[in-house]
Amino acid sequence: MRSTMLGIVSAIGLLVVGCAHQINISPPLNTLDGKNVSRIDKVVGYYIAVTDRTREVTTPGGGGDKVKYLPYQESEPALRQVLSNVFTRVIAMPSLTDQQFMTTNEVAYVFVPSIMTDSSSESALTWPPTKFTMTLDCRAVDRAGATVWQRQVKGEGKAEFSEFKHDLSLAARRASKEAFLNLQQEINAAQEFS
Amino acid sequence: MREAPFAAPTPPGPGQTLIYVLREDSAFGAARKLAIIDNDTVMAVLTPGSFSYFTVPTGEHEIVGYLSPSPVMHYRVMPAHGSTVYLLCRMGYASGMFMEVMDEATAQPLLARFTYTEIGIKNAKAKMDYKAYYDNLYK
Repeated sequence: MRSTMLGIVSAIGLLVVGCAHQINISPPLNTLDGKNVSRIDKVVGYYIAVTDRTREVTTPGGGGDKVKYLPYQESEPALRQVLSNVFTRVIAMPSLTDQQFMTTNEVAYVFVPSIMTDSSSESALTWPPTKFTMTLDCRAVDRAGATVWQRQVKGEGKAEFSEFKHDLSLAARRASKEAFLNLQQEINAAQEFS
Repeated sequence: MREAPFAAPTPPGPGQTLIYVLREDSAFGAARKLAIIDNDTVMAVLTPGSFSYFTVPTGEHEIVGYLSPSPVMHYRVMPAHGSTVYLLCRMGYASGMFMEVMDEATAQPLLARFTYTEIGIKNAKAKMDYKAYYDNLYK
């Protein structure tokens, strides 16, 4: 009887403590405004490796719980949006070494992002993160495969319960919005693409 | 809200966007109905494993999942003439609570398995314009 009770309590404990909750870190695309950007008349590509696209990351949430998400897959629409705000045409690249594809599609540069994230919560009672950070390291390579540009930008998002109850991913989405807007600013200011 | 036989809608014409909204088939919150609002207009009500669709003029549409007494998830559909958008309302203890876009290949098997629902109060006005509400949340 005692071991049965212990088993039930342990099972309940496993269910309610340390669980990883799925969130989505894609910022709403309407928030990635390209109004003050000078458009560059070039075709560019971006490359996300298959292994990165399916990579799931787990970081801390509140109350001992964790949050999990797919940083590359969920950031892809934002990357495409900021590149589309700056350049006239954007293509997803199947490979980083396919020079034939780049030449045929007149791709001038390929952007390769590297994404690092972290999260935390000041709340012991709710699991969504109240703070989320995204560091975006992005490089651009030319048709010869040489790195012609590289920058690191950051985004930080905070959200309180009164806000994130309407969007449990809010802190993460605010962070990714800020990171991609900072990336857009850096690309737009770069002399290398003019 | 009632279950109904599904008849494929007319494909969206120029200046139109067809939006399918599906709710994950999960026991989490199963007793609660999820209202689907387009900006400020109630378009559907979903139970677990059900879906609905509606056609809107092409433009920005804030599609909101509303679990009384407040909105709990949203997705901003961006302008794309003649396109079809598939949105999945994730509602599970571990699978999260958010709305995500799916491609057609992912959506079709779910549409074949899920139940189509209709509502009698379609086009009723919601409590507020949620497009402006979520714009403010991201400022």
